[in-house]
Amino acid sequence: MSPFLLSLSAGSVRLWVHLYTTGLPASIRQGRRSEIDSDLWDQVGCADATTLATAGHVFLRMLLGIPSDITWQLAALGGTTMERSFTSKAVFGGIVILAGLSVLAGVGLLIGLAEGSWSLDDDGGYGVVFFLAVIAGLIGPFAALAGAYEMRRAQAEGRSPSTGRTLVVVGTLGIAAIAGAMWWTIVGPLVAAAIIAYWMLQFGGWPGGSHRSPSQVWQTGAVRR
Amino acid sequence: MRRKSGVLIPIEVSILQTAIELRTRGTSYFHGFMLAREIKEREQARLLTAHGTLYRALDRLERAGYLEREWEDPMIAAAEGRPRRRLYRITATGEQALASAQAVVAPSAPSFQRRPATS
Repeated sequence: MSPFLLSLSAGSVRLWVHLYTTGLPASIRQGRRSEIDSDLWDQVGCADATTLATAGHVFLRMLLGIPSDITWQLAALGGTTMERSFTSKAVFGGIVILAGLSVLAGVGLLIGLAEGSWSLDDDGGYGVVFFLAVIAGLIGPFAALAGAYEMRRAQAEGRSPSTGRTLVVVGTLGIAAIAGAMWWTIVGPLVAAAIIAYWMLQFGGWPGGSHRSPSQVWQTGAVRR
Repeated sequence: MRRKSGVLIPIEVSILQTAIELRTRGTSYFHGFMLAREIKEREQARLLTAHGTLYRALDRLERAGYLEREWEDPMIAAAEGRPRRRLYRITATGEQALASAQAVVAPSAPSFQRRPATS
């Protein structure tokens, strides 16, 4: 159980790094990915705690660093010319995810309307909040997409990308609203992300070095510094 | 909001201080995980510095010229069967920046001390 969690945890870190570095110039992208790979490998190999504690520690390091990762990525995007791959991979991936969320929101809306399950309840509050969350969730993806498009245009024209960033933030909040109100819509993507994360580490190996997974590293003992 | 260039935040001060300590102990070059572990021990923290926090700070310090970085010889990493490390080293400019940051903090330090008892 614990080696599985260790692989899942380290794989989640690699998946997250892969996501937020997509679209950056190759040198920056590969530099960050390799650096985190090396850090993960060292942490797993030098751990003196139980595998469960190490898995938690690795995951927590990722979670606590997410705000910094995002600001670093925005700075890296702002300071360099975006590559063609940004359009072909990140934007396309974003469109697919956001379109999926929109469809889920629409389906939820229709089911709610058909069943009347989110009409006003006894105190008259919940239904309105739920309705607003669904509306925000429907508008959010489009606002985020418009923001991303505006950021790209602003960069191409040498303008400040602040308007685009604001739209992305507002859109993200809309998506968060629907995730809060219709939590079941994010269960599927979360399970898929966990499977991908596990696969990335268990079967993908460590690039540029040993192809042992964290669980194998754990079983064979600590690594040399 | 953007920070003024040349202003060091606490994590950056910690990194530069740790780099100097490591060099004093004979380790001029260090990598991210080694640094995180040293900072944890030095500050008696429960957790290692988060990935994003650590590597963003290292990136900023490198761009400011306070640190130099280079990739490890791939043969060494291959021989040890692990991913290649990115190695950092503090520069003279980095040492000056740290000294300036500490000089700015130092004058305000007495204000935190307890006043001597008056009779």
